[in-house]
Amino acid sequence: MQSPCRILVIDDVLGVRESIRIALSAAGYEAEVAENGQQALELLSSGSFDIVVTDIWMPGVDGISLIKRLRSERPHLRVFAMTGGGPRMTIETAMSLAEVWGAEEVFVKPFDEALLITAIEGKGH
Amino acid sequence: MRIRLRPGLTLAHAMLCAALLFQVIGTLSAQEQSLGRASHPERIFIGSRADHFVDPTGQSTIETVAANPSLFTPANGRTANRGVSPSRGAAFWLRLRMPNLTLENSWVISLHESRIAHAVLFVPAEVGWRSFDWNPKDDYAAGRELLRYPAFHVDAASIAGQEIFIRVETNSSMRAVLWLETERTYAATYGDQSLAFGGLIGALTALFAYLLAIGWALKDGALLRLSALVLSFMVYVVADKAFLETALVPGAFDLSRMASLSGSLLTFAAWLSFEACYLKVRAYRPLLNRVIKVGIILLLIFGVQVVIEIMADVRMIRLYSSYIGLVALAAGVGLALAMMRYEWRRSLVFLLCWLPAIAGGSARLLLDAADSLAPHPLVVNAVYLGAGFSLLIFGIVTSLDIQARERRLLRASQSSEARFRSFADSASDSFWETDAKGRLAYLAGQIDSQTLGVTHKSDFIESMRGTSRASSTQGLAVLEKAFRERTGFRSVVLTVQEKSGSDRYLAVSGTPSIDTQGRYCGHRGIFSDVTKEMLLNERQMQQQKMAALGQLAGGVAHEINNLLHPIINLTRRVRGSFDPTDGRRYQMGIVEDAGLRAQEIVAGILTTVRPTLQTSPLVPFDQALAKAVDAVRPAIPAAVELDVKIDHMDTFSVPLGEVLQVISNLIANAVHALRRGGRIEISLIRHAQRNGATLCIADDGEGMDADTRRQAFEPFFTTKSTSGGTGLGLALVYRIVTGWGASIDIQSEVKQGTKFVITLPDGLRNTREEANGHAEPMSDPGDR
Repeated sequence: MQSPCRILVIDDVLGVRESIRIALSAAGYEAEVAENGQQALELLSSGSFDIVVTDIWMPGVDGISLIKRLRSERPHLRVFAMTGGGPRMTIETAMSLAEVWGAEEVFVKPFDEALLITAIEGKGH
Repeated sequence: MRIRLRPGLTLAHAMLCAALLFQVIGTLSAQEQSLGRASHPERIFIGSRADHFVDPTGQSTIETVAANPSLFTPANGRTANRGVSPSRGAAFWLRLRMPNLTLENSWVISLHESRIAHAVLFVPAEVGWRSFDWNPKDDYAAGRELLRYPAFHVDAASIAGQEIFIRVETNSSMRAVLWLETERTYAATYGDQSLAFGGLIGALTALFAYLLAIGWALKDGALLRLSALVLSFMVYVVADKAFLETALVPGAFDLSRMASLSGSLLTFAAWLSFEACYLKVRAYRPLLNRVIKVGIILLLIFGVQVVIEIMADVRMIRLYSSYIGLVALAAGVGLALAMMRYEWRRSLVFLLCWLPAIAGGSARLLLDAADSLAPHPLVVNAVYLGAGFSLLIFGIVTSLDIQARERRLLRASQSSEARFRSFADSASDSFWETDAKGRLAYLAGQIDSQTLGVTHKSDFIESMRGTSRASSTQGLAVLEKAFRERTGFRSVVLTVQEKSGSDRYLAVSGTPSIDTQGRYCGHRGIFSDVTKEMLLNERQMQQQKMAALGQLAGGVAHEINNLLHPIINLTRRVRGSFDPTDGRRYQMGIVEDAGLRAQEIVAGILTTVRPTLQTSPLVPFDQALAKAVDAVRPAIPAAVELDVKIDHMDTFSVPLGEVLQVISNLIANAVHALRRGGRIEISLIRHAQRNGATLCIADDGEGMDADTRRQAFEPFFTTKSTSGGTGLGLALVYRIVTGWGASIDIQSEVKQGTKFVITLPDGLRNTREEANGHAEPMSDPGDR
């Protein structure tokens, strides 16, 4: 078996990112967390990641900008998005934008993390 | 002045015309007597044959006079006229030779001159003179009939071809208006004259009463002055023709003299006063008006002075009364001519109408003033006939003038009212007026009495209370207070129910109306239909509220979703780590379920306040509605009757799911309101000649109060506290309907059912097309 797939989970809410990290670790993935886009970019430049799971609505560099950037800079990186909506953006808008900019799948929080793992595994290795 | 004779003359006009006709006929018949038969042997005017002589002391006897023929001024074919008696006690002697009388035995010699104190006829006797005495005071004292002028009854044999003498004592005019008539003709002439003057006096009395009444009612100065003129002239005629002392107040010889003289002067004063007023001299020539006033005051003073003179037996003004009269007449004519410049029509009418009176008056006054003029018997009476004629004509002219003015005013007020009404009818507002008792006196405009439920003379506020919704109580109280305190009020909104059942919002403004005397006459004001504004306002408020709520809900949902995510997932994970028999696994399950339930609620909120992607197929609106109704029909309880009417409407397509949601929610609402059963009506009515339509879902259930109605579309607002309503149904309906570009309104009152009215305006586009073009700009995440 190859070295475990490295996944970066980005969400500004500690509970969300930790919950997903735990789930991914339990599923055998090596998961790391970042609490915003900026921190994620730093981590991405320092280490190699195969998958990014990012929230869309975040302070600083938001998920959509991050996805756009990763799509152009790292075309082989798989990106999953998640959203709980927001005061200025509907869930539907967030979902369509994420899909347009290259997120493989968009999950609406709260979602069953098993579905995320299934998605990762379904198209992955 | 425009005079137009109409068939619809008033009774007063008819009476005046009849009186005038009567008077004219009487006068003509009297004239015929005097002129037409002048040459008739039964009636001979002998005044022009008389020699005359004025004895200033009155001491001469018949013997002296008869013995001195040279004392007399011989007749020259004209009637002798010596004017006013030169001194008290003076005697006027007449001498003339009688013609040969063959027809009858009894003849009458009469002197047609009023106010003769004493007259004696001397007829030659076999020895000396036989005298016939005429003395009204003695006649009155002896209880004999009083005659208006001297008349001597003689045998034809005793006077035929004889030279006779007449001695006259008078304070008035010395004129030889002398007639010789058979007894029968004399009686007829006397009767005719009495009749003619009686007719004139009657007509003048009627005219006076009419003018006074109408002048008083109209507060018209000219008419009141004219009535004063008629009165003074009537007094003058009654006194001057000796009706006063012979018929009205027998024996009142002094009163008659006073009334005659004073009456003539007052007549001139009244005439000038009326003329000045009628020709509006004060307005055009104030200075001239003052001069006229001074003249009038002088005439009035003279009028009083002659009374004093007669009482004190003094002769001052009396001697000059005819000159005064002539000056007054000349002044009147001059004034009318001077006013031609300003009021030519009135001046002309005045002159034409008064021409008979001016001519007659001038002739008579000239006779008195200038003794060289011979008094033709007609001229002596011309003043009465002319003035009477003028007064009657002017009375009729004036009343016609008044009628024409009334008609003009009526037409003006009618046209003004019609104009006002057409303004009112073309305005969107209505105009109302009440009387002082608060009863509706007037209503015009778009909002008619049927809409308001008010009738003419019904109590305004009570009627409005009858048609207004309960929510108008406060507004009605404002109206009531304003009516009670007689103050104004502005834009008080009342909700009235129309026959169709829909609500109409009316803004009522009013102000107390006060007449010129400062009395309160009621209120008047306008009704404005503000239904559109009110509904728009309500909708805007609703939209703003929903937008704010949407924003808030979106933000809250986002936060909660983020919190729920670890709760649900980590709980699930921890629960899975426990043994199935472990009680903690069960407890963790409860936590997870609670999280999932919270997730559902948040999703529900988001569905309500935020648009979702439409996955339902687009179906023409009418078909979608029919399908939706069919889908919900099985869920309707048996006690509820469903009545559906759907017009064809395929120009607008909607997602079937949305219509289903709208209908199911509204019907669920109606069913809830119909706990004891009832009826639900669903109708889709297409607008005539337009593409829009109105969808109504009505029930006859419990209805809503104003507060419920206002909050009905707010999320989480529910009245179904015991039956588990979430309060999201109507909010969802609202969101979907407004998403179509349509509007939704609630018409409801407690116990009167509820009607949801969804208005699909013209030119609606299919919602899917709109949604496809939708791309919300990305917000700035940094402002979170």
